[in-house]
Amino acid sequence: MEETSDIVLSVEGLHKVFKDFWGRPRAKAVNGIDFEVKRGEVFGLLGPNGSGKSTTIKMLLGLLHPTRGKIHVLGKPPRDVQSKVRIGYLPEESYLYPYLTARETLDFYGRLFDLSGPERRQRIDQLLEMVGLQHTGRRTIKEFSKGMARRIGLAQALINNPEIVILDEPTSGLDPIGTRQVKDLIQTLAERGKTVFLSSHLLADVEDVCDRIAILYAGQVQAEGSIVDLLQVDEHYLVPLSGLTPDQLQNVLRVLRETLGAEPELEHPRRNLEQFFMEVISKARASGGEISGAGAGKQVADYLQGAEETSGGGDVLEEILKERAPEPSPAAADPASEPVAPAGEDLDGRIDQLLGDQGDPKDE
Amino acid sequence: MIAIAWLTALETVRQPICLILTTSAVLFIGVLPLVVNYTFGETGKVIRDSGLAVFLLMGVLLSTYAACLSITREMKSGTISAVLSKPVNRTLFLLAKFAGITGIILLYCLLVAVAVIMSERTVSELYEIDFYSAGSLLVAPFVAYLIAGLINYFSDRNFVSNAFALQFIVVMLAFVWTGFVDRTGAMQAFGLLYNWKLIPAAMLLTMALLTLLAIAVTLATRLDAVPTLVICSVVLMVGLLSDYFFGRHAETWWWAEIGYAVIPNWQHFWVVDGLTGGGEIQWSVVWATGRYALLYTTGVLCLAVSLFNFSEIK
Repeated sequence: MEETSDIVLSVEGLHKVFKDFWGRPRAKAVNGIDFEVKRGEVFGLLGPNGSGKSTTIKMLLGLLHPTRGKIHVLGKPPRDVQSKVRIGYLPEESYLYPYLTARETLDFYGRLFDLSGPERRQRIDQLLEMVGLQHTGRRTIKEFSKGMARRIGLAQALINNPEIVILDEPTSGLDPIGTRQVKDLIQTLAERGKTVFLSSHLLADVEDVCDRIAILYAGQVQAEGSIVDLLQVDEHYLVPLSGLTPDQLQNVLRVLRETLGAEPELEHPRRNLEQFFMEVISKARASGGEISGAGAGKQVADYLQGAEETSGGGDVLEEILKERAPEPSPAAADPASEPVAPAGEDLDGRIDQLLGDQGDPKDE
Repeated sequence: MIAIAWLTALETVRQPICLILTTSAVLFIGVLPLVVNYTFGETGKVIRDSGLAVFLLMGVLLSTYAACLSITREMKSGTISAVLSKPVNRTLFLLAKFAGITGIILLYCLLVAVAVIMSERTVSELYEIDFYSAGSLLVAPFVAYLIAGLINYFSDRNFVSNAFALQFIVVMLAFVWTGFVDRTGAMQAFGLLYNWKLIPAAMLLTMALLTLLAIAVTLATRLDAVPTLVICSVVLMVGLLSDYFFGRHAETWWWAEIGYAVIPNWQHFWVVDGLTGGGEIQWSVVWATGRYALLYTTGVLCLAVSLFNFSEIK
């Protein structure tokens, strides 16, 4: 199968049966699944533990052999070594060499892609800064916390500036800041035309970042489609209202009551726990508290973004708080203040050089 | 391939067990002359036999452990899946692993061979100990550990790998320095008191260890660490008695012929008896055994590559 412009990953009638020492079937991990992933989309594979997510990913990478079925990654069979130059993979666990430092680990993976010495060093510096591990010095991976090891795992998956990023449980073991950072990174990579294929059982994470999902259970796809199509409840509506006086609110409720013939439900919106957590940590950091693990990191490595934007990589915590800060009400807004570009736009601009040598597929 | 071989070597020397085995071998060989000095003229032979036996035993443990660490443990822990998801050919991966461990085994063999030569010199005079040779050999590992400790304290560099490298360097320096002094401490031409005839024996043992390493790597592609260690031990013991078990029946029984061909005959590699009474090992023997080891290792590695290429990384 030749690589088409649209489909970068396709799976057809995939089966995987694990056998015992004597060749007898022991477990049916994948039982006839089909799906396709288009270029530039974020595709999520969901399912409970043991549903076949990791087995499917390992077959996509040629680490396991399908019992039956066809797989094409970038138009090639999964065991094609050359196509792996264009793939980045974060395994489920942080599969790293315990006696190497963070820098040595990334240097090793960079060498596997034949990156030149200066390029390797440049990317390693930027990736370490991005994942907040630039100050780990000579500490070896075995001394890292699970979250820190996960961050290095993510960095190694991006060392080759891949076209397809395959992430197996990418937020597993990360703190809320790291989780938010990974989710923002996934969205940013997708905006720049990269395809992200991820598996997770953390539903909120998948909902935040995925365009399309497939839900696996007992090795079969139980549901597949875009997040919007699958989750939208057509019969219900949500009307966000803000800045209403009590009188105005009563008027609105009266109109609704008369129109619907029933009492409408009224609730105050709440901040979510993630936003509250970010605010608390931000205050703690402002008061000078320090931790020995990973820092907050920068949003995106410079080599994954535009040259003209490379100096704009700020602290991820500040970025998140900026992004999620409630918009000032018209009455409270300072008329003299300059209009501010949304943080997402700023982030988008900062990765313009993402595919400096391969171009942005969306622009082609 | 170079990156993987280098990483394999680095990960191996950063394992504390690697350092412990190497230091134990050097110290055990260094202490031997102090223990067996009064053995009615057989001292040199006892030192040679015991020293080379320690050389082989520790080398077997090191090579099988390194193979299990590099292949089995990586398959178990999953590091191998991260590497093979990159543009890495499986055949080259396995050969690079073998090459990386081979580098460490060669360093070990050189270090321990030098220790055996220094140890034999220590008792080359009846009932007298050469304290220049004994002292420098016994002190060298401690000097290496001290320097590695200081480096670790001041610059936070890895203690274990530095101690391994420094131990090698300090023992080599001790060997060179001792080579220039006689038993009274007076300067002399280099190496007059060393028994250079031990070199072919050490080379043969090195070949034996590399052959065993190839077997361990092959087993490690499919088996866990414990079965790999057990099978390697059995192959070593059966191979040492290959002539008895298989050789004498090889022309009569088909199973003996197969066993004689498949199990490596370690007797070809253990020819230290040839040094008794001032004898020496002919280079033609080393050359012939080298060809045997090369052919056997190549065959076993072909099997390893085949097994690894069809294995699944779970």
